[in-house]
Amino acid sequence: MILQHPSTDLVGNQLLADFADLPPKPPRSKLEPHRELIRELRRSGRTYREVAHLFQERLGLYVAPSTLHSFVKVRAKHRKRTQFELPPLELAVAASPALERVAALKSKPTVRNAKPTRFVFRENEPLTLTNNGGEQ
Amino acid sequence: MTAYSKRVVFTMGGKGGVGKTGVMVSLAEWFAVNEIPVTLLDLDTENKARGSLKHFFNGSVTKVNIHTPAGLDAFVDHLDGGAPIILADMGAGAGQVAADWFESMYEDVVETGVRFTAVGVVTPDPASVESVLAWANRLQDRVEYVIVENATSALADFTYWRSTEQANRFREVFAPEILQMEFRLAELENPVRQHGIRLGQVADRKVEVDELKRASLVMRAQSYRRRLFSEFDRAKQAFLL
Repeated sequence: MILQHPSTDLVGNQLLADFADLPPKPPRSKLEPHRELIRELRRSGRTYREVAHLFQERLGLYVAPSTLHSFVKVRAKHRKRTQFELPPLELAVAASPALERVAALKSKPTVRNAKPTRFVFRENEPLTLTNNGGEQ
Repeated sequence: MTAYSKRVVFTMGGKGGVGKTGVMVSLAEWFAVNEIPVTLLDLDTENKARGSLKHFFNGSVTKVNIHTPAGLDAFVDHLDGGAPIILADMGAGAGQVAADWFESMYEDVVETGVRFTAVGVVTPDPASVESVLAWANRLQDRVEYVIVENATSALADFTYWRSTEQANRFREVFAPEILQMEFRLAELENPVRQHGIRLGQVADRKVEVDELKRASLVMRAQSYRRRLFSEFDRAKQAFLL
């Protein structure tokens, strides 16, 4: 027999509500202040090993290349997610004439030329004589 | 509304040997007698030489292979700057090509003021009737229909054309012009086909072939031509602009 705690959902909901009231946590990574610098160095083709070396040499900051890699990947994923969160349709349409035209085209009724077939002849069926067949 | 200024008259029917080319030859002569210029197209790739439209009008007929992806685009090209009326003799195996072409091109071509007349030829053979009906099933309202009853014998019996449910339905729906082409004597018809000579040439005594100079055959040719031309006159709305 499986026992279920009927109050589990209630407790979970209460916890979520409590966390929602808390202020967001500040970034924990020591690399956070150097985010833009890391991005620029990566864009210019520097390897994580080279970036780590530069940080140590110029900033006195000891960081492993793998840490740099994780830092960049996590933020890239986050950036991608926010990129796909599109603004509401009305706002997007107002912002772009191309989208306006797309919306107009979508709302245009589709013209169907399917005229009803007035005459049907089944080629695999023999001709059927009418009652007066044979009379000329 | 589209103003029609061009017409394509073409033969239809998948049954060979029913007289499609013969009708088209006579129709071309009818236009010539009435001094209306036409473009003649021979689209019958099966009919290589003897008996083809080109055989009867050598030099003034363009042979076109329609069994290409362009299909019947020759209609468009020849109407562009050429005579406003095309007479096209289609081969027995042109049904699918014609159906495909009409399906994809008709709407755009008709917009340019072109209309179409399909000339079907029926004989006592039920296969000729089935063939015409099969074409109509594909072409539907896109063309005007003219049906020629070709009497291939002295006592031709058109029961399968006149008294079958399918043919009746075709007549009800499309109200085709129905013309009669009478039986022609073999001693005139056979040498005419053999030498690629038109009925009008025999009637006007413009032939070099001795067997076609006989007075009775000349008179027969004149008689056949007169009656067939009066049939064409009756259906002239379907042939003119």
